[in-house]
Amino acid sequence: MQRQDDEARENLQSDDVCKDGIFEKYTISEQKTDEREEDRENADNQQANEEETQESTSSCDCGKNKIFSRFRVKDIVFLAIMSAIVLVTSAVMPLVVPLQSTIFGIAQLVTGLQLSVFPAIALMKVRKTGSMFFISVFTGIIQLLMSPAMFINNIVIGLILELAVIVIFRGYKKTASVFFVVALYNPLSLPFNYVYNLIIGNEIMTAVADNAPWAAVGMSIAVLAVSVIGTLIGIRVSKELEKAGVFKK
Amino acid sequence: MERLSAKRALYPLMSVFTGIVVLVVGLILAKREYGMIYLGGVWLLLLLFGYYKACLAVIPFAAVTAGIFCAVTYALSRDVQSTLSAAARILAVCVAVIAGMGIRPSALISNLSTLRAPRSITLGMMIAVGFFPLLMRETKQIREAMRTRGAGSMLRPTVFYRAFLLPLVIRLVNISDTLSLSVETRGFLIGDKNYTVYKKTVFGIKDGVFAVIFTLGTVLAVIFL
Repeated sequence: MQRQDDEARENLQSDDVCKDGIFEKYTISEQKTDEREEDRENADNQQANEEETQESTSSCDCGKNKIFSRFRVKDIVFLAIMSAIVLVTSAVMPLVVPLQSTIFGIAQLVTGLQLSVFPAIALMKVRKTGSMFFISVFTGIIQLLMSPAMFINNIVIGLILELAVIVIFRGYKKTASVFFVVALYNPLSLPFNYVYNLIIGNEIMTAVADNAPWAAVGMSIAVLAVSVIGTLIGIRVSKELEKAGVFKK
Repeated sequence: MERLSAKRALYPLMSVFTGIVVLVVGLILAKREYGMIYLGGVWLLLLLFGYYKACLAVIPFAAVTAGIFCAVTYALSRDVQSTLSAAARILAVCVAVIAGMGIRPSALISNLSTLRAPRSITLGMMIAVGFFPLLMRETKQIREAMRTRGAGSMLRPTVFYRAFLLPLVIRLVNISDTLSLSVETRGFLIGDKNYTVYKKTVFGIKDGVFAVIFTLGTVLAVIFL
């Protein structure tokens, strides 16, 4: 028995796997066990410190894309796929573009649901700072070719919301932060478009809001309501899938 | 987008930049009497440089949109000059789109990769652009499964949610997992790692000629029109 204990102790010293308690059945002296636990604690602390340092450098170091290093390939792929589905489902928007001169915010209204359900699912899965910005960039690739103004709109709103979520919620850990960002993503393009049309002197687009301000307010509320409903649906889908084990952590 | 792209398109980033310049200058010149000449010139230039598919495709959209905008403007203002300005603005947007429409999204991504843009951005863009056909197929399969099960009309919210939306998202998550594994095994890494760009995009003589003509034309239009 003593010989077996010695062998077990030797193995414990040589092999890390043995730390997981394979040799628990053997009686090892209390002093040795304490030493081992201490070592294990030290190792854990060291690992935690390393992770912390890595995290802090990745979030604070602004040079050479360090901020993106926290994202894994898996996260980027999922965000890109969700962006693709947003793009495909938003293909109805060009059909209502001619109506923009008569109905304020019609484009935002028809894309409100798609632009909230899928980003909400994406953010519920990839709860990392910068996720919304990535979605903005990925959806912007087609917009960059079709309408540069829309691309700039997307990027600016993405950045504003990311900053807001950092300041208010310090990331996407809470579901409320996901709700906040996604519910505002589409409605924020309304004031942006208005200001943009005002700057470039496109009176006909601004006149829609100026001539019937109450209708514009009503449409803005409708856009916000659709976005909120879409976000809630997205969050519900995510929670259901999380419960079913589809969203692997 | 692919079917409208030019066979030998211009340098992708220059095409995007051209679109932005045309939009800005076109909107500035919209209020001037001869502002539309500039837009016509750019349209012709792009046509000559191989963007004929996009140039022709934009005509019906421009006609319908400009028609509606002009009608609304004239109804509101009863002023011919304001109506022409509205038409010029719409045409500026339509002509600005041509340069972007004429290039493949993959070419733009390749261009960004050549310029060493962050891998996370280019990888995501590649997936977002290349995912459309797969997405269409998945949607079709789910709808077929719905028909087989006799799930009922998609217009019913409960049917849409349970029989369409949830399976679609589950499929997307599974595809995402498989794709990310596949991407990783092919050596895609995110971060500061060096990577090989197989199809490099270079600025050629044709691009240079276009840039010179376009810049000269734009400067002359801003000064004289």
